[in-house]
Amino acid sequence: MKLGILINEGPYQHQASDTALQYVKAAIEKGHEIYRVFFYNDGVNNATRFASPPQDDRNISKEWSALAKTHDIDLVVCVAAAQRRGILDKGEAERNGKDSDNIEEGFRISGLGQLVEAGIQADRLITFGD
Amino acid sequence: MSEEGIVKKFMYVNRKCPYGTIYALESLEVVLITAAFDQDVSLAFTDDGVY
Repeated sequence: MKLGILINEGPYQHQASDTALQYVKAAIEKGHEIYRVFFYNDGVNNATRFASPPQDDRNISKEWSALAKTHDIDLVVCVAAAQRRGILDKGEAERNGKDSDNIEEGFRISGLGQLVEAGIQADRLITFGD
Repeated sequence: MSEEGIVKKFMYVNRKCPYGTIYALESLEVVLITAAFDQDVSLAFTDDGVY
């Protein structure tokens, strides 16, 4: 089955992002296709590479990045939600006159149209976080 | 974007009150974008969303 994933909560604040990560891993293991993972609302905070949790704690952003690299998953961050919360890629940083970008490798910033497209193209759109 | 005229039903759930946080505005944005793609969209207000 082709699955679209929507994540609405940041890492470490709620269980949502951890659960989504486990869900995506399990779905891939079962042979399902992950069409796209879309990050909206506070979910965009999963995309920062500046989070530095203690060595013995899980690094959720890095785990998403590694999973995306291994299985070639499309991780998309909503541009409007990301700009409000200070998540920038190189292009957005330049456009907004910021001195640096902070997006984790494997994530890309795009519009809400990507979420709608995932809803249309995928068989199911699964939401994590309220 | 190539959606080949597929129309699906989208229901978004708004559980947050309108002022004080950005969530209600962001739920409005996603509904408007979905409508712009000519999809069958609805928005459910529950919990504090009823305000």
